[in-house]
Amino acid sequence: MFPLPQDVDYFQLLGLDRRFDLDEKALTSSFRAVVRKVHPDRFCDQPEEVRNLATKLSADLNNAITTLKDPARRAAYLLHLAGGPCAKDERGVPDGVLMEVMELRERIEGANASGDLIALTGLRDEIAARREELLADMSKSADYLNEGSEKNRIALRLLINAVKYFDTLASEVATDPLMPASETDHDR
Amino acid sequence: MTDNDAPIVGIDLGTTNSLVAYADEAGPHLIHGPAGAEDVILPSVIGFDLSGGDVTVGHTARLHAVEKPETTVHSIKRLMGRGFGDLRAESKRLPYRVLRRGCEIEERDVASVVIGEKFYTPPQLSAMILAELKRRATGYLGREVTKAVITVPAHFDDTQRQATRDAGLIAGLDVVRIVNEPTAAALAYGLDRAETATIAVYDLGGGTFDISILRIEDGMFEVLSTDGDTHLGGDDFDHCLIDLFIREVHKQFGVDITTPTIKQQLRTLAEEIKVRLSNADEAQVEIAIGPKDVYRRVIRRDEFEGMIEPLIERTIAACGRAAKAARVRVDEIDRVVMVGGSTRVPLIRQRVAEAFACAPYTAINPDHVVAMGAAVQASILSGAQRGMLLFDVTPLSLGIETMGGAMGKLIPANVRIPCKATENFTTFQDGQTAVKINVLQGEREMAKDCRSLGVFELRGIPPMPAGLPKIKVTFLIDQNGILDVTAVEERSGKNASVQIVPSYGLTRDEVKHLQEDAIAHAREDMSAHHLADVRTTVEFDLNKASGMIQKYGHLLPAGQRDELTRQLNELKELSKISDDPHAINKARMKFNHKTVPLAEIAVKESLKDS
Repeated sequence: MFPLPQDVDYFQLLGLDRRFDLDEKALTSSFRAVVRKVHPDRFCDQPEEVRNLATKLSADLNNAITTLKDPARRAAYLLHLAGGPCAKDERGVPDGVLMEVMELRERIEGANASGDLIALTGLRDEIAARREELLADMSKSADYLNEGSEKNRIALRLLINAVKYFDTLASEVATDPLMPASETDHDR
Repeated sequence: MTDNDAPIVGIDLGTTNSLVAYADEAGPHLIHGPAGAEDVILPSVIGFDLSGGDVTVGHTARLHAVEKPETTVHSIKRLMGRGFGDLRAESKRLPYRVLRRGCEIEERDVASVVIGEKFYTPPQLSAMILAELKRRATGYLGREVTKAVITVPAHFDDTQRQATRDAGLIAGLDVVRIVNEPTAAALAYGLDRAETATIAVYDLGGGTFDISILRIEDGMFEVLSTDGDTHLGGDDFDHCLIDLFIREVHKQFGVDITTPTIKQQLRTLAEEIKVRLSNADEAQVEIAIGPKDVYRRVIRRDEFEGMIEPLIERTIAACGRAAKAARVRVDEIDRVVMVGGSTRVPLIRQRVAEAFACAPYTAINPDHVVAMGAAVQASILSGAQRGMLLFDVTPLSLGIETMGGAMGKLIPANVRIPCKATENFTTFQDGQTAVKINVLQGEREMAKDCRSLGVFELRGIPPMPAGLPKIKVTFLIDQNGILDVTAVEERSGKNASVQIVPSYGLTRDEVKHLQEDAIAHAREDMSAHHLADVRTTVEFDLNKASGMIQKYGHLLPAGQRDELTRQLNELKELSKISDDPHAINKARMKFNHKTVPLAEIAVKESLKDS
């Protein structure tokens, strides 16, 4: 085990090409193979430096899989590597998305209040479908990322922001049978 | 580490009961106490004898709880890593006294238990339980046990985990790993299985509730999510009954039954009723009130269930949150494993079965399974169990207090650990060399509603104009769920030192002192024991010598006889006055040497007599 060079990126860490479209199975199996080898529990009898190194490497790997497995996070990471704007710098979404989100939110509130399971399931599927469309756009946009234009980078940022809106919407739909409609926020 | 072959034991340090286990080639098994193979459960109860200064742990201490409520400590786990401020409501329920420990720094708040005139922090008290388990394990294995895996509720925050590790240190145990209780239970169950499965572990103990969802594949135990409540357990069911008794007795007899002694009796009674109602439809209660009056009452099971139902619903709501966080649908969960004695309550089994749409799994005794799993983890760490590895998550979001008092999230809950996040800080004044960061854990929006882990002060920043230093702070949560913070000033490349003032826990120095204290006490105890032994030997030798002087002293030259008598009195005096067993023993040997001529005479004379 050796410390990683400072500038190693998550794709390199898992031995993958730096691009948006990736084989999720390859990602997972590559991650599993590496993370097993550096698990801190395998170095319990080693000197403290080695143990600390295993902990740090595992942390990097865990951060890598969390980032790369989720398409929106993966896109944001690619954008970051390409020097694009972060969410703080560019908060916008593609045209029309804001209206769409507001409309959906109203419908969710109505369905949650009435507990209409059919409407809720419909909404859940509708949001998921729209999210997929955005991800497809994201994939196309990410392909042009390295061509260097600032316009491309901003376009990708707007798509990433939009996906976040849809993720929030999805979490507001109370369809899980284990999930009570009103989520009480007691002391956890 | 010096001794890589030192055995590692697994410890379940519970609110109500504690257990220790060890895994060998045959698998994990519980280590029993002095009363025999069935004596595997050590009640987490500590009894103090103020007159003799003795401390007892376990069954004996629990037996005396009713007579001596103020000097008997139970449920200390509920106080671990907590401040006095947190416990104000709770401390009313505890028969022993809880106070705020004196600290030099105003913001710090460490709760302490007061016994007689002494203050004990929760880690010190937990260490007494650990020390007893350590003794048992050392006796059982025939080798000094110095390493342990200790389990904690999955929902324990950083401070509570640190407190647990501190307790280990004070007890002379290197806590090589802290494992979440539901995860440990999964390890115990998954030992012989090569299967791929998604399981939920529902763990309701005496004082805490955890729900974890795991994916088991290819020997990898991967926790997907965890949720729970560090202040919800079987004890709360008992309290429902206790509150009912107190209310009704007050109404019927106008008597207030809230003295520590009675409260302790009520606790025992309530627990009995709860256990009986798990098997019977009703239970009879009788409490003698004064010389004549008796409070009589029949508690029906459905009545009891009505009282505890809101508590159970809280656990079911947490199950829902955990499933959602794991992105697992209920029908994708293959099995629900039940852990903790409280899961014997029929209504719980029924509600869990309904919520997960499958029968709860209870093949291993729910009181034993966590300790067994801790022993499995110990065997993974020792390299004996190579096929399995554990991947856990952090139960709570980690963040920092930002301007305006908001919680700025750096690491969200339910991400795999180890994990890390970095954040840049700068200075606000020219020449500023230190920056303070308030580190938080919790899911709420505002810093004041989250748990402060402590104030981390970055020191040694090279003096520069305001805003110029770029201090990169790395927050690393390790495999134990414990936070480590490091900082680098990037312009100078200098490491900034990180000074931590824990809000509710002990500082490193305080732990070190307590540790040294415990070792010094052990030595003191040993030397006290040694001293008593030496004094007994001296007494024996002196009696023998003075007998010989009486009988045969006249046969010695007159001077020698007086000299020997003088030396005898000298040793007698020294043995009384001195506390140093070595000095006394040395004097004793010297004296015995002087008695040799007399002893020779005595032998000769006794031969003549025969």
